Amino acid sequence: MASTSTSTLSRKLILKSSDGEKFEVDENVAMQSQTIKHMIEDLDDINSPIPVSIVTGTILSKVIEYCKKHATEDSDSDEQLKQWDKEYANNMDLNTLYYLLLAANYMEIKGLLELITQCVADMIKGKSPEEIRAHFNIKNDFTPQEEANIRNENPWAFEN
Amino acid sequence: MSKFRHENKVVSRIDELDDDILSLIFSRIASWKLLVQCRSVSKRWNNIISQPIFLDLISSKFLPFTVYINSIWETSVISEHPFFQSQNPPLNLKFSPFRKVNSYLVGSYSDLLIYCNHCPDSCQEKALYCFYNLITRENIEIEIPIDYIVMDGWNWIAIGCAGHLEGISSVKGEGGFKFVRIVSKSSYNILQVFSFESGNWSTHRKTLNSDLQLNYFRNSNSVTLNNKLHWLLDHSILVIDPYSDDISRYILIKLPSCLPTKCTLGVCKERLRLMEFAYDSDLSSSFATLNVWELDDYSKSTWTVVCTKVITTTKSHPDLWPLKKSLGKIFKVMFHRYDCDVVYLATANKVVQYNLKSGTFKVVVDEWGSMYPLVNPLVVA
Repeated sequence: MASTSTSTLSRKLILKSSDGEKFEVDENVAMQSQTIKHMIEDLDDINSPIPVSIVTGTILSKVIEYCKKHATEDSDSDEQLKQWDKEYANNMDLNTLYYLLLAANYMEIKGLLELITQCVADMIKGKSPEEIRAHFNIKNDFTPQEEANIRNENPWAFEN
Repeated sequence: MSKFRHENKVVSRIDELDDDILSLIFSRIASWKLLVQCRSVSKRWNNIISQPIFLDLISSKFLPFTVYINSIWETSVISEHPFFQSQNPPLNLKFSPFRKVNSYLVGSYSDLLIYCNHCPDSCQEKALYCFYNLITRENIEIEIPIDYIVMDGWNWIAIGCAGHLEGISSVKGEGGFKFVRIVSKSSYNILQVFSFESGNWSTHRKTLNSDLQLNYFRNSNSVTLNNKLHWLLDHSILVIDPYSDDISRYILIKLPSCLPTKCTLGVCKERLRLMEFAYDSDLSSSFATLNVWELDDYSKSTWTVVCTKVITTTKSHPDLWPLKKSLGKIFKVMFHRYDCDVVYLATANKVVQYNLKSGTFKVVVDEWGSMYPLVNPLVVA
């Protein structure tokens, strides 16, 4: 990884998580976040830590892992990168995925947001409404009549 | 990672995500069928999936199946679109997008209804086509040049659309929006194309081969599939590519040889389908035959019979009984865009939904009507 920091363009930035953890990252890594990009523009002192207020250190380290991988364009083919993304997302538990969604949304990291939303959507696919509720622990707040109405309006969608 | 593994916390949090993040997740479920199932998960999921802003997000991929039925007195909507289903009382469709009285519905394309106020024998100040989005109530008008109107006379006019009409239609088809008219005369056929990118009608009038006998158009509206226009003729399907360099170049798909004249063209799951609805001319006969063909290979014109049904029209299906009384009329048929088992039949005095698998009928409109589907050119279901 040392080779990536030799670029003259790449300065170092310090990101500070909501629980006070500090991360030193290359500027081109951090710039994948539109939010941080805008913050840097307004920043007087480049050496002062940039607060990432709603993201904890544990999640921020995972976000940085993603950004680092995607900042080094030259090393991997598209296919390899896709494979890496897949493994990255599959290694997360559901709760981590939610925090990553919040972080990617807040930090405006398009690629990460797409990756994680697709990952959660894939969990929904292939499940019946009952299985979806069980998997995501969602309470069915319809009355039996209301639920029947949706089914009756769209019978084709509930047939196999 | 183990830090977050608290079982009850882990699974409860999807509902703590904001609507916009849930919308993004739902938008990646590329099937309307699955989304309808998701609506029945909880009230919140139902609300998010029914919101216009969400529907706009997904309609780049697909559009819920909707049929407009235009009868003498009113226009009604049969739809799987949550917007229409959530309208209570049902959406008032008694309107005209023009102030003028004599505008009439001539067709539909994706989420647009196409109106025309053009009467060939009258001299109005402006003849227009109006493309109207029923959900957003936005519209775009295009003027029909005077010399076109003169030419129209009482000739047969067939229309078709392809591409994406930005700002009005939420469907993001490939290519700029094209509106195509074929004016069919006894000796020649003229092709006129309006390109929304240039804002002009085609300047030179392309003529189609007069041998085509376009006066045998069975339906004046084209079926759009893969951005090509398909019109059903007597023995073939005329295919025109409005994006081709030479638009007057066409291909013909042969119809199944055994197909009689009474049939309808449609699309189901991105395949062209034909339906024949035949019944014995003997008035004492009490059954009708329904056959459905599907096109296997575009280039070879090979068709497969996917369904053959004999329907008893008297005792077991009184809903279809009036069919017999209107002998000799061509019956309109509409295919469900995503559900291969469902078709809509317009009989002499009602519109019924018929399930090809179970053989069951449901009356959807209790009067005669002509049907216009919302046809989506780009589907990822």
